[in-house]
Amino acid sequence: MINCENCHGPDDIPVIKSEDKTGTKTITTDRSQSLCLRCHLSLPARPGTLSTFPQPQIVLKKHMKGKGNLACFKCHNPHHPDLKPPEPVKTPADSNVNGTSTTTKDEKKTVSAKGRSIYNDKCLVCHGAKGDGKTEVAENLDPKPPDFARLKIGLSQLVGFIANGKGEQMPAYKDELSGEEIKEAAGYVEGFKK
Amino acid sequence: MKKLSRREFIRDSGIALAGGGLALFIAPSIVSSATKYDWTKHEYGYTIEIDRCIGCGMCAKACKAENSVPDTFYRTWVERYSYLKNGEVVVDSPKGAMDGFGSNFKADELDKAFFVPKMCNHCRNPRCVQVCPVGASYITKEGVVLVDKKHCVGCAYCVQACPYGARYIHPKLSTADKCTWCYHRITKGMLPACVLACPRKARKFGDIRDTSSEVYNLVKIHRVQELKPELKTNPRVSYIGLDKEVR
Repeated sequence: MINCENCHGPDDIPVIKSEDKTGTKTITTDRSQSLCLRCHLSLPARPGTLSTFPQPQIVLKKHMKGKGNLACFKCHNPHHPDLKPPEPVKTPADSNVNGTSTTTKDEKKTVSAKGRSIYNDKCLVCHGAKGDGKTEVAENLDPKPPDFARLKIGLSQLVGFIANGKGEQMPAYKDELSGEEIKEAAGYVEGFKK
Repeated sequence: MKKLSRREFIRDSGIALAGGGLALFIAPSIVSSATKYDWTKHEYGYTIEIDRCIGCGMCAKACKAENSVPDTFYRTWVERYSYLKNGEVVVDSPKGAMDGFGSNFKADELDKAFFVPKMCNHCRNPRCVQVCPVGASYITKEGVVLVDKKHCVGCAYCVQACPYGARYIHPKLSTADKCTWCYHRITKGMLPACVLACPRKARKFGDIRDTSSEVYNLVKIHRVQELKPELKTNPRVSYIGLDKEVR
């Protein structure tokens, strides 16, 4: 998959149209499922994971077992930078297709929603959903991203590293993100500390 | 302000007109020589990898949108071949796969199943060009087979002659119509709509004279097949992973 047309279609941008009249970007479960399952439904004729070019396919009932009937984007971010859905989030909070989530009462630590969305957008590709640096991209990096669970540095140092980069691989984000955004992301990263 | 005599006025306006006319004459050739597309410098090819196709039908949908293909007609479509355990082969293509496929048989009833995208093969030895009584069907220098809508009389001989079923008579224009490899796009360096829409990169298009193109390299690395080779149409669309039962 390489471009927007693959999902949004040639004339349907955005094919994901608002289903309610208030103009909010909510998508019904049915619509989301029909869109994603157009490619990902397990059909006998589809090559599947045994093919030379494996593609994940699901049988909807098995996939949703124990989770009820949810829209696909509740767990998967279709706009993930490397177009590969990250691991499903543990608490599928109300989220729209851009991946921002609101916090739920279940979480012990209060996690900044904005920090998470910035992290998922910019950092997740290399640093991983759990902050452990175990990603496909990281295999080619030298030095490798650290495991955030064993973080020893404080918030201000994190902000510094995000803004100015570190070493050969970590780029500087001070031109891309505002000071406020960097602080939010750093706060989220600090949350990985054990 | 210096007063112009009639002679001077006529002389000046004549010069201005001549200069302007010259500029108008030269300008298009300067602009177009920089961007002019030379059809003798390209030769196009197309590859379809069967193992990549998941039958989502985005290609058919994109083609319809890009080329305003009329309802119930398709310039490209996807067929599903289902090999039943009793030896029967069932082929289906619901609405050309424009809305995707639903399930038809369960996995335990099937020996094998796969999808085959099809379209005009832009043959090197096209039957449609051969049979056209008015010469409306022609091959461009790049190998693209097109229909000249001004000269087509809608006799449908080419529709009958095409062994791949790629042609149809356009209900509004009353001329023959078919896949053009999105000629209006490829001459501008873009890809055909179907190629762009495929999420699995099953379809590839390119200049086979360009040794760095995907199409050239795929044909070089893989053993390729074509549809109905016994008819000697010498199609330009190469299939990789085609099965013996595909007609």
